[in-house]
Amino acid sequence: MRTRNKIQIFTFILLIVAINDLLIYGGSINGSDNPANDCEKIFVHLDKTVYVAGENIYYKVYVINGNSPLQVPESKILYFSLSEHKSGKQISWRINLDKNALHGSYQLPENMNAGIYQLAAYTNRIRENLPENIFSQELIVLNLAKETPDSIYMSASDAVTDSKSGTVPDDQPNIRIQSLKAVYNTNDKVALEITVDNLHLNDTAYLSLSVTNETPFSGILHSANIIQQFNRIGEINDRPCFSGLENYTYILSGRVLNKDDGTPVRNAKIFLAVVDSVSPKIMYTAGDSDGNFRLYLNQFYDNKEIILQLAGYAENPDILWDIEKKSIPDSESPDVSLPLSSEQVAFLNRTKDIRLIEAVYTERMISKKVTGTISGVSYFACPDIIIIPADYTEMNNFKELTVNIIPALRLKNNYDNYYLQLFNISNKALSENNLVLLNGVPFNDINYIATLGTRDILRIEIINSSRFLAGDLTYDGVISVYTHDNKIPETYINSHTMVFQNTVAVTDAENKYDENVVPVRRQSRFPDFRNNLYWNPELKVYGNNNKVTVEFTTSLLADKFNARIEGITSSGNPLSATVSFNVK
Amino acid sequence: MKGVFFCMIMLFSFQNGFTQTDQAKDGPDEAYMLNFQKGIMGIEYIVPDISYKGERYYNNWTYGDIFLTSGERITGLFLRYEQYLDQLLWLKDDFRVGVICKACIKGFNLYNDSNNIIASFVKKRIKLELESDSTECLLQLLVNGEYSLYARRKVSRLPDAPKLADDTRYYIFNNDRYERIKLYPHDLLSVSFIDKTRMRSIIKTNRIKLRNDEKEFIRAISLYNN
Repeated sequence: MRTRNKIQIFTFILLIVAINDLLIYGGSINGSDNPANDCEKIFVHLDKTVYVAGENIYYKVYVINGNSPLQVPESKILYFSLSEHKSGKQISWRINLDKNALHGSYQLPENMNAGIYQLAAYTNRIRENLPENIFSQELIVLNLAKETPDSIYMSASDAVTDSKSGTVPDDQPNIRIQSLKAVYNTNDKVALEITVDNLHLNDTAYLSLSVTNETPFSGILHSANIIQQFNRIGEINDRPCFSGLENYTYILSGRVLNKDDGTPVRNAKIFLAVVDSVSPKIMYTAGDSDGNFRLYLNQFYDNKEIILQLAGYAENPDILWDIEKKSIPDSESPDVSLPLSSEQVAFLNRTKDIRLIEAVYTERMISKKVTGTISGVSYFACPDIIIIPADYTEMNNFKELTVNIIPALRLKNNYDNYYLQLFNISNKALSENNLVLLNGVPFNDINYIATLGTRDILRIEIINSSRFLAGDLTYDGVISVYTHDNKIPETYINSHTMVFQNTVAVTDAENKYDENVVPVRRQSRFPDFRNNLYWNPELKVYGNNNKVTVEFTTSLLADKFNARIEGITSSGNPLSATVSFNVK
Repeated sequence: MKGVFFCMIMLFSFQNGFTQTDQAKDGPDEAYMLNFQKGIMGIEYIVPDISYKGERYYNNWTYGDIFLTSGERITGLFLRYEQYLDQLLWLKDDFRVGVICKACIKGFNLYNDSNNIIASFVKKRIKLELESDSTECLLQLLVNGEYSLYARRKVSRLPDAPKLADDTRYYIFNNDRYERIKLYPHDLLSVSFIDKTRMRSIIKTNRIKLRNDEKEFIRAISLYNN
């Protein structure tokens, strides 16, 4: 009887555990724990909305996982695109996302057309699953070398502003910003007091503050605040996000096609390389039957020129590289031309004048480049032979080098086409099936190598003790040549490879924004007509002292200024507030 | 009673079904790993001399992870540690065996069939006997902590017979300092950065018998770390 009772109790406990597990799992399917439903919400706070080509756009990005804002965003890459309404031209860059809030800058190209641009910020996951979640904001870009336009082009749909509720419930943290005076003099000290109400003791508010002069384009350059943006997304974010997640690193993907008929190159064997003077940093991948390939690039490859080429082709293959740009499609709504009022034209002209003054008088800050700590992987680190030609008497070409100082290597000629033979120790035979590298890049043009002599070559490294395995390719040896100029001939690059500029904008610690944070006391004597008085993307308010005061000076520009503060608490609540003051 | 059992079985199977669905969604991770697995490079491994008796390899082919110097981790590879050459071997899909260049890895883990780690190796720079300069070796991590114990799983050729014999060496590390030790109490107590009195007390209290016993050494250093 007792045993039976025990079995019943045991079974009952097991039953409860099973039900409990199921409930937890069911909760995670529908609830906040399921990452597939956590499409990110993005908001970008800009330092201003009217720029001149050549200027830096300073921004602070807020990214939270849709249903679990406390977690670090799953997507590790954030894309920006700046599209001109009139011509549809698009400029793109990207940043690495490693936290919920980070700031950065991007220098606008000098040759941009003047006009209205749409700045979009998105992750690849949002682009593929929920294009409605893409953050967008209209900007005006002017060009010092071009006339100020008298009309502007913009999308008809952008004229309709989204004015969903921007209020927060009473118990949620709320931010207030106050100016100590309503009117300031030029070159006066401004003090703004920022208070966050209902902030928990252990909570922190991460904020960004911009103070810029009011533009006469408020109807055109509509800008939602962070609360409106996140609330709006909350209503439409009911679709799951399953594809396009870049949760490790940037994915370089694309297709390899035959140039003649556009058919895919099946099972293409692809090498990715960067020019390197120390060791080859090569990645290998094989495409599928539709010609698709993908490569995961870690931060070592940031801001490097990526060289893609097909492996196993002695001659230049006639192919097309279709690299996925990860851009967003142009707006389908028709563009309308809006004539500018005389007040608006005067404002734009004044903005250009201010930029001109700054360009002439401001000393350029040369910031030191921060070197990354992430290294590329070198699978070639242990060469069997290292030759430094400078250690020997001068030789004019590669033939002389091989004959005199590299007995394991032979340069042969067949009808004016050179090829290399390497003695493989394990096979005990000469072989032509070798991987030849020039400055770390696979290089098939042996006729060019044949011209290199002691004056060109810094070092030759050879692996011939065994065969070299690269993915599903096998080479009998590796010959790696490093030149003094550390370059790949332009003709080879153009004919054999696809070059991809892997541009990544700097963020946070790497990026100095000091030039925009003006000290309370002006020390410089240049004519100060700043229209952007203050930009600080790293303000913090702590729960134990929910107040912070910022001070800065006004410039010689008399106008109405708007201070705008945006931010997010560490528990994921968006914060936004504005205040205006006049300078006379 | 039967009904309760039936309910339980149904619930467990339902739950199991959910788990499998969830795993199927794990697409990006699989593609990411496959990309790395297919992209590994290295020289082909050739058995240098098969006439020697003895165990050249630390393990049979088992699943393992490698940790690259770039910070990435490649999982799901068939790995084998070559004790004689101090090299990590990987078995390719086409059954060719490659040597993963030591310079490009920080370490590796080996797993058994039940997916438990059987050994973790870490690349460490140590000075070997009769060599003037230090060299990078793959050492098995036995104890991890402020005081770490590593084993260099080495086999050596016997001078008088065509045989490979176990010649494992042990190293105790404390931050940047390290000393080679033999599995004797005296050796452990004479390590310069170990408090003799405390170690003696640990050995005595826990009745640790250190003589030529790796497991007891692991126990002693683990207790010393606590």
